[in-house]
Amino acid sequence: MGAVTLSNVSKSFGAVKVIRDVSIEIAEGEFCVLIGPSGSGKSTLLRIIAGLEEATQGNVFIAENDVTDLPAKERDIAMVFQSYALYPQMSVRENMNFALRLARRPKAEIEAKVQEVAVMLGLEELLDRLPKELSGGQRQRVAMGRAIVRNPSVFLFDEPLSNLDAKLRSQVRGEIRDLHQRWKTTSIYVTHDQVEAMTMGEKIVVLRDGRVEQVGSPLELYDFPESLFVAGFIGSPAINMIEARVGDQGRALSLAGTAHELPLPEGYDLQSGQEVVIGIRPEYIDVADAPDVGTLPATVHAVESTGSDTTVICHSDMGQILVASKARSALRDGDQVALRVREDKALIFDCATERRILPRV
Amino acid sequence: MKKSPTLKTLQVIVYGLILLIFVGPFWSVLVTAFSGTSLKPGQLTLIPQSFTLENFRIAFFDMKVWRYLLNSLIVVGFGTIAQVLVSALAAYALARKKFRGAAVVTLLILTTLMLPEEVIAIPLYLVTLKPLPIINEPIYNHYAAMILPVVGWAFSIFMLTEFMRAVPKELEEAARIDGANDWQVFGHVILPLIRPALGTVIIFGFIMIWDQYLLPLIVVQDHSLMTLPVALASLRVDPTITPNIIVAATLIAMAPSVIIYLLLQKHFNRGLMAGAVKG
Repeated sequence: MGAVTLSNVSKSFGAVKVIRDVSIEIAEGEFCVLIGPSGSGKSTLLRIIAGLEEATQGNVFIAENDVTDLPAKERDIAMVFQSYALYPQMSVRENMNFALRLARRPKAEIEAKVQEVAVMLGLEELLDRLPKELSGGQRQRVAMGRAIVRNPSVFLFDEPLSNLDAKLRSQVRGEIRDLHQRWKTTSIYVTHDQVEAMTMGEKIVVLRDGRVEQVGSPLELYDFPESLFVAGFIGSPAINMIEARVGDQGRALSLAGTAHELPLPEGYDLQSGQEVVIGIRPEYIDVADAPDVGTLPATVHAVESTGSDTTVICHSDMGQILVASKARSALRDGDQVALRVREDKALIFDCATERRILPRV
Repeated sequence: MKKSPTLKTLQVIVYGLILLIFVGPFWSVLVTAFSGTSLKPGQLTLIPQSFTLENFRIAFFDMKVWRYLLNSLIVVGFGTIAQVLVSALAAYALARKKFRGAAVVTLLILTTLMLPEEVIAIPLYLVTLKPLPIINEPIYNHYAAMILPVVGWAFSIFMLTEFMRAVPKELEEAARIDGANDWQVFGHVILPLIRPALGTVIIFGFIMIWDQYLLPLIVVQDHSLMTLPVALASLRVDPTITPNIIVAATLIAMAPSVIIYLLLQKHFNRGLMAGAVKG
């Protein structure tokens, strides 16, 4: 078992800086998710931890040992690759016991270990098959088995579910979570899928352009994003962002491009005339029965229903506004509606810095 | 659409002619080698007459073809093994390792493909006369003089390099994380995955070394070290030996190439196709 610490890690490929001064602490036994859009450097960061890439600057610590200059095989880590990277010429058994064979462990121990993990992952029947004879989900499981057999200090996952279909993905997600509950091994999981991040991570690190944008628990990131980027990246359907200007001597927000105003939530000290962006999650906007003071007019553009959730996509003077609810909607495309915003749930961001403006405590 | 009978006849005639052109020489070699009727120098026959294996017996034992065959097998055996080993290691370095001057090394290897054998024949001869480093002995008139020059072959290096590049890098990374060092990655992961290419390279290397004529001719003087192609050429100018025996000896010389091809044919075909269509 081991905590993982990155201290001022930077990485450049030639003149291109892909990781910029990243410092993260992952506690022993924690499940940490690295998330970010393509090119944010999340996979590179994982590869630096694995020892597959060298950091240009900074240090990597695993279990309090500086492993920055150690090769991958001496870091006591196991990794599950996006493509699974199973050795095609080896059977499932050989794939799983490869590391133990290299370590020259006793045959009986190897066999017992493989058998134990195979039973745990439901792979006993497949041990003599080749990877090409397995389905995607089975291959994924073998890749995990190969990692578990080694009983490493740290598990690294590089988008391990992205090649699976939606149903299988959700199932394997649960399995990985259960395995972590059982083993409590420090795990670092890279994904661009925020559902995976939210449902699996105890700690989420949001990366953007090689920098850490925010670190927090899933709900912290959802409820209190520190920047517009995090607010927009976390949450589906996406947060509504409405540009506004502080008016009425700092008591109201005039919505850009309209004559409408929203009362400024309590606790904020804002300058009159200051340009801000209001972030409001779709579930904090309701469709009012009738236009009223404080409601915003909009036109229904589309209604998306998954059965359990309904998202109404509206067009208004402020741009597109999403309204989410658990209830089914009778609205149809083209309907005129009045939207009521729960301004106490609004997040306010500075337009220039894109950082969240915090209310007085 | 149905073909007209005239077109069909024409087709059969054309195919027949092509077949005759290709199969004709083989046929005449076979018939001559097994024919009991002695022919004059420069003659071959197409019509089978009395069947005999006597020509093979004379070629093999009386003309000492067995000795030349053995020499050829020693050269081709050690040569092919060393060639494949060196090519695979060189290819691994070129395909997977980043090192300063990799482009220059590639270019130098490529250059060796552009030089005709005749151009390097004399310098090579001179090199074999000089004591080599480490062993401090010249290798002239020794098996090593026929083996060492063919060990590094650009064709097989490039062929294996391309195949190794196609092996997903993640497999190598997975092996490194599993605790493998360079040799283990090479032996456990890369080599088993390029088996088709290895088969192809073995066949090509075998045939290339087997067919060597100029090199063994100039670096070996001792008759007892001569390889089959060189020996066959010297038999041919002997007026006492009938074409039947020479042709029988030639058939013996062809046999190993055919056998190795048949043995590795599966690999060979896969290797050729994989080289043609990447993916």
